[in-house]
Amino acid sequence: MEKSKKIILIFLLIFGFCKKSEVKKKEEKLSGFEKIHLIESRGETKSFELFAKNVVDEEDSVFLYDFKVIFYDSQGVKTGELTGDSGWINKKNLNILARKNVILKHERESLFTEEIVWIDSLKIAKSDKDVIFYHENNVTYGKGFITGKNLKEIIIRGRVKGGGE
Amino acid sequence: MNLILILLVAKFSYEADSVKIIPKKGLDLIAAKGNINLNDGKTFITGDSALIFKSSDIDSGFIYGNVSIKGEEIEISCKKAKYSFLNEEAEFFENVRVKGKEESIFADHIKYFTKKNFAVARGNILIEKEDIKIFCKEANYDFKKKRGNINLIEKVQIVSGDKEINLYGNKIEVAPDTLYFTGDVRIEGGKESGKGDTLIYVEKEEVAYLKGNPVFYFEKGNAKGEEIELKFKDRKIEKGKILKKSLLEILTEKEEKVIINTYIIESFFDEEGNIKNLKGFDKVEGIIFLNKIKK
Repeated sequence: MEKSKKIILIFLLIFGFCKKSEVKKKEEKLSGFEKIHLIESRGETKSFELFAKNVVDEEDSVFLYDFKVIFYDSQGVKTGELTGDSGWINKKNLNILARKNVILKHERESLFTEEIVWIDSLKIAKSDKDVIFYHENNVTYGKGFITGKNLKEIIIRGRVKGGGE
Repeated sequence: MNLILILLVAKFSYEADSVKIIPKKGLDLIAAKGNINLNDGKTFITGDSALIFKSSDIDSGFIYGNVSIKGEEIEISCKKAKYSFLNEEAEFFENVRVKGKEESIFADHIKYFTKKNFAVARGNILIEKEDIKIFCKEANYDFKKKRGNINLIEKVQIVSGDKEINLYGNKIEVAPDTLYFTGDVRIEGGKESGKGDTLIYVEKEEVAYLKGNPVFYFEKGNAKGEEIELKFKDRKIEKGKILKKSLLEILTEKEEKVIINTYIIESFFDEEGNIKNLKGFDKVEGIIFLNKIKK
């Protein structure tokens, strides 16, 4: 009963602040993220899916515990996924702040850091924290990054160091 | 040049102020900016920016800006470098300078094949080795065998202070310590000059051999023979030895032309390029005239 309330609450909150978006609710089991499952979509095409083990609703945003977000492009093709121990989603603009043990995955690449901001209007992710990026048997270290739209490219800043694994 | 080999086969780590990584299917495109530093612990590459392609079967890239490659025995600087680890080759562009233990090479473009230890230089080329300067447009060199060939030669200078001897030819075969000139060969040093079909310059001995209808010109005459040996000292032609069928044509003090035919003539030149001594006339009457031309 408790779980159902939370799901409905999140569903209503997001739906209320996203007039152009159609938010659908699903209850699915997905490797440890079965508590909450939200689908944010534009028309028939999914924009992102959010799974969280627990949530706390606040005025402008929703606090997420142990969550995962799957991103899609305008064609509905999966572009990447974001996981974190905790985070926030802004009800108004759907921006996401992910914190602690944050992992951003795109195809075969993975990025590890302590904080990531997802800007939904631009479909980009960024951070000012230390990052470790694994790609094509290489690893790159830096301080701060910003992705291109739909995670298609990544700029890593700081004194960047990289090399073969 | 062995360090280029290390450069091309070792796995590098890199540093930069920022990198842009564009992951493609099976290929990473890495654009690095600012204070690029690539190294394997032995060879250090620096540059202003780099473009790196990496995948399971591609490992190559470009380095731009003030590119510098430093190793234990060699240092290369240029404006742009292209490398391919898998093809084992590297190319260096614009104001290329390769500084080795014994020689320096300046060129517009150098391509280096690691597997064969072979370099191809093109454009405005200057090869400096101790006092020798080779100016040319095309040079190939095998660093392992220390052999190569040089085409489109402008000139070869043997320089010391303000003194220089210039050598010319259409083609040079380079061997350890020896340069073989062929085609319209000429040698010019102060008041002396020579020409022939081929010229062999032995660096350590500071000796040049003119062959193939050789003619050697000096202030007061000229010498012809089957072979002319020229010995240098302090970047001047100190001694000329006309071997085999020798023909020496000289002007006396009275501007009389004297022709001396003998088997071997050795002549020594003074500071002014004049003959100060001649050997090889013991059995000919020409010795009389030699006394007259001595100053």
